[in-house]
Amino acid sequence: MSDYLPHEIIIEILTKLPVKSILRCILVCKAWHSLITSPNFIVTHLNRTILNSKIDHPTLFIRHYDKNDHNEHYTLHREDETFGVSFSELEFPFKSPIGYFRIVGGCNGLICLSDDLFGDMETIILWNPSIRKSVTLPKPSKPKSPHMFVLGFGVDPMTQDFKVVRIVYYKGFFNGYEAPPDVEIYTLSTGSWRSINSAAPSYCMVEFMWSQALVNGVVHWIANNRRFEFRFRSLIVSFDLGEEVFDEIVLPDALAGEIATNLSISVFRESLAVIEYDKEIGTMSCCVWVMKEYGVAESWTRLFNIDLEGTLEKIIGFRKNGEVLLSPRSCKLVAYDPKTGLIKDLEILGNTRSFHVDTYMETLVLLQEIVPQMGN
Amino acid sequence: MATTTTETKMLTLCTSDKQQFQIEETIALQAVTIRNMVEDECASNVIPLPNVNSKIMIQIIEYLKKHVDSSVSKEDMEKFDSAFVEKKLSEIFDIILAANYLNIKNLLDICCQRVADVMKNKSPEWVRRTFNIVNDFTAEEEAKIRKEHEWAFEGVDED
Repeated sequence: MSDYLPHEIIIEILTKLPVKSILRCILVCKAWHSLITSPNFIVTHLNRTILNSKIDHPTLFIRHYDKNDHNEHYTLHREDETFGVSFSELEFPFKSPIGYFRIVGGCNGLICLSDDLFGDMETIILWNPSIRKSVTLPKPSKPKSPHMFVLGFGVDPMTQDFKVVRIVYYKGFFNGYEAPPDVEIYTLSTGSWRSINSAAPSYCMVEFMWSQALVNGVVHWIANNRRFEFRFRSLIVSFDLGEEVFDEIVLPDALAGEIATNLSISVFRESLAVIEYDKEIGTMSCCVWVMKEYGVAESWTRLFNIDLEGTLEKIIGFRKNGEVLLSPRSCKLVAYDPKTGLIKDLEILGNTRSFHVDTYMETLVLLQEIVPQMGN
Repeated sequence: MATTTTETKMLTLCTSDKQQFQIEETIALQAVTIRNMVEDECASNVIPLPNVNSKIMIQIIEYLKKHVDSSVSKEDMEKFDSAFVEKKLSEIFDIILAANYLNIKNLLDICCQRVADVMKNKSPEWVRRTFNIVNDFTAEEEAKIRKEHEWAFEGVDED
């Protein structure tokens, strides 16, 4: 290695470099090559990046689909006063044959994409834009009959392994889908799917419009409980990526009585949040609820109401400073301050459904799998 | 600044080139290695530091003297730090080795950050020269890696 500096100092210096510079350093010599592409180094770098993003201003990415150029755009925004002006755009190397990808979620620098919004393509991709590497998942087992599926993506907090969980519901004899569903898990370290049989949820999730919220290594979705014949009760179904078990979180009565398609799950300042839409035509508004203490049902709090005189279309996400990113009917993205009611136009135009906001960080995840091993 | 009283305890540090430095104990104890030596009472009056020469020791004492002063504002400390690392890399390397041996976490941190800042836009060839590393890749291997991460080699500083 280096005559001058010990191994641990080299690691110290390398982890302080931007990812692009680290990539160049794998060309320095074989020892640096195997150091940088080793799982240990990748995890050390990741942990530092996570720590730094808590101290410094974190970065968010915003995805939108531009109807004019028929392309997906991923722009980067710093979580500070410069938020409104994107400082960079990621190069998006994929193309959905019809429209745009569903973003299942972002976690530790990886973005999970699924091409299921406009047809029955079931391509799932894990993409690390910061090193321009991706993995296309092998096809999961082919369902036998008409079905729908829901995905979850995140990292196992114990092993740091990335996982995609796929929950497949089959169509019933009457209307709707049958529970319990089939459950399969993909782990990045093995590169393959395996089914798990233990205790699949006895609830159905929202078809097509489902989305996930990742909090504390647990994926959450909105579901409904059909145990009572004519009365739907909405609730949250969770999946612990470490333990690989499902659980449920009860919603307060005001939300549980709402039909699941009027609810949407999100994350507000690291807490689980639920947006309750009042979809009455012309007066569409919404309420934002937060579970202040994770897992404590009594801590559900109604934070604020957003009524934009009927122009509200969809809540896209929340900023650290409490601002709400939302899309009014004009196919644009704005930042709304719930305290003052002020609206800032972010000058991003796109299909309302294509808007997605998530955390972004530069990591080396996927570097190890892709770089061919060199002889010693 | 702390008022100097007759009780101020002094330590004597002896560098590799047999120079002796008398400094206040509170200043010296910021170096964990020295603190451990004093706590274990394994050092008598003179603490030997065989891995640090006097030229580097002078700079390290300058750093420690500033950082022991609790009246310095966070802003001024950052200004001091960034001015402190404005040195040639070879000198920074020596300070890194000394800070590593003496176990002075902050100093090690700002020096490694300085190296990273200088390295940021440099080519692998520059890194090899600076770190005294021999390229042991074959031309084919090198070409293959370069192609794999082609975009990362764009916008590199001229050597």
